Amino acid sequence: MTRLLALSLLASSLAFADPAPDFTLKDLDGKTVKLADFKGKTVVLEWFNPGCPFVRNSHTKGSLVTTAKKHTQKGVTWLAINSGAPGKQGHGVEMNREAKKMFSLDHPVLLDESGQVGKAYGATNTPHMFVIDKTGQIVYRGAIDNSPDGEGASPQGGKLINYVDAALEDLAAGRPVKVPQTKAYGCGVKYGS
Amino acid sequence: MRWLALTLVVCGCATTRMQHAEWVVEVKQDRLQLQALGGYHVNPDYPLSFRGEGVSVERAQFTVEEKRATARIPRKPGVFAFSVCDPANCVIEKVELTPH
Repeated sequence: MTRLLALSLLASSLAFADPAPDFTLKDLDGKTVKLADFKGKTVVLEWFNPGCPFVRNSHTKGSLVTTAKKHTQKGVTWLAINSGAPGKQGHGVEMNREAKKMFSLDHPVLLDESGQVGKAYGATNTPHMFVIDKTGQIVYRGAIDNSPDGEGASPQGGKLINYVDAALEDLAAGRPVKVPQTKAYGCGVKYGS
Repeated sequence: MRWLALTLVVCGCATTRMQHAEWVVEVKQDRLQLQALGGYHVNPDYPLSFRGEGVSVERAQFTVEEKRATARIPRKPGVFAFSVCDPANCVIEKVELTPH
């Protein structure tokens, strides 16, 4: 029984470190971006929808205001992905361009209109965060932080924890990611089907 | 004005009511109620709160159902923060309330 439990725990911990599915998407200027091009680098994927109030809160008041800039300066690659289908909230090149400007994003916003990449990662929310280590393993998946209002005003347990920041600090220090998975909050990803 | 806000005094009981296309917020004496309208439901993950000067009613003190959330609140001014969603959209709102 104990052995069975141990095997089960091992299996669930391995599930947290799945290989990151490769993808090829276009950015808002039509430039092709391949995940494989960033082999050997730490990559953060942020599921994005500029029409979602949780995304807007996170980028204007919450944890996403500074996290991307802080870590891209240290060599981390940060990619926002919009898996919204045509006609759905937050879809469209112009709307995403405006959001990129409004939120002062220096990183690319990639369009995944078919939703194939979002579904391959199991992205359910915006924002939904994935941290991929230098070996191509997903080492964190879940919420940006523990304040499900998106603005950092209601942290569970009273202290704001930015899970992505913590995961990236762990990786930078050569430590295993202490919290590899949390429940994402925010809007549902606006898949077409 | 985005919301329709009404204060009614009936039988000596004051009711503050705010209505929007997706929701109705009503305060009757010390009872705060959020009702989601149409295809909207109360966002179960959102940290509902009613906060003001010396006032803090947090998520755990609310009774949350699919279409409705209720709580007892002090008769002091505060801001009620909540979120309702339908399959296509989520709305986050913060409304100032002055219970009578």
